[in-house]
Amino acid sequence: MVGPFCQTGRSLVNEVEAVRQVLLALNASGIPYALSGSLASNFYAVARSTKDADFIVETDAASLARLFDSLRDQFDTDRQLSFEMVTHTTRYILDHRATAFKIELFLLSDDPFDRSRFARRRLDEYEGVPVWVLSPEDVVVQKLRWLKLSRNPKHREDVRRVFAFSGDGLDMPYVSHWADTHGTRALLDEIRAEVERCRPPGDAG
Amino acid sequence: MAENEIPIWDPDAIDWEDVRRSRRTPGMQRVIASLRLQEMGRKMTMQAIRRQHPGADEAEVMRIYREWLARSARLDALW
Repeated sequence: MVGPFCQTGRSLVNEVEAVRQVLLALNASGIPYALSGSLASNFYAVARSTKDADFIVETDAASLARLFDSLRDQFDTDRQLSFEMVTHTTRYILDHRATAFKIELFLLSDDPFDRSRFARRRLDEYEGVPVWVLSPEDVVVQKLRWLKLSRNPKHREDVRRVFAFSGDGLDMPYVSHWADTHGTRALLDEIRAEVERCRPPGDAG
Repeated sequence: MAENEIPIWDPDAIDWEDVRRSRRTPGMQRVIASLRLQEMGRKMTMQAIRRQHPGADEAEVMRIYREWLARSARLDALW
């Protein structure tokens, strides 16, 4: 009998594949979307583990129902819209049956920043599949907003990670504008100063 | 650390060598690395559950793992 430690190759039932399946379904559905949250911050920083994958989607009920149907073989879908208490946004949660990995689909709102970050999303590729990702500036602005509301240190760490990684590469007038609008300017300045204090000479990102 | 290994973030301090190494990695590879970390954590947790519950079948192990995830999410929400 071959035990689990003798198996060769990787199982296709894993978190990477769960995200790939959702991306394939989103692309096939034609629903505009953007990868956001901690996975997006990992795109612009040193990697850290994450318990879920967040997407912003611009869609209607009928398209969403078709999307859920296309994923039902591997995902349990809670078709009941839930309210996210921290950010006051609405979302649907997909549960990958084999791994318990959660995919959260946040509905694009009329909030001006939500609209702005969605318009600035950029195209990349994930395991051969096209994927739309938020810009690094928008990752920072959103994380600051979450940090102000929840004080969860992981959001602070995510901002630090993106600053350390990006250096001079961020559009700071854009970030500052939204930080002023959201009342997170003090947090922005504090975290940025913290990173810049220890940046090695000559490191510009 | 091997040259082709993708660095992992340490929240206690910024390791600038990790930052420099990460910059040489395509962004999506770092996204995938973070999902691999999650996969590793899930497998280790489920292995611990199997040790604590030797009679549990895989469905029961997954049920306990889901409970553990829900507790962890509730703790996260306390912030």
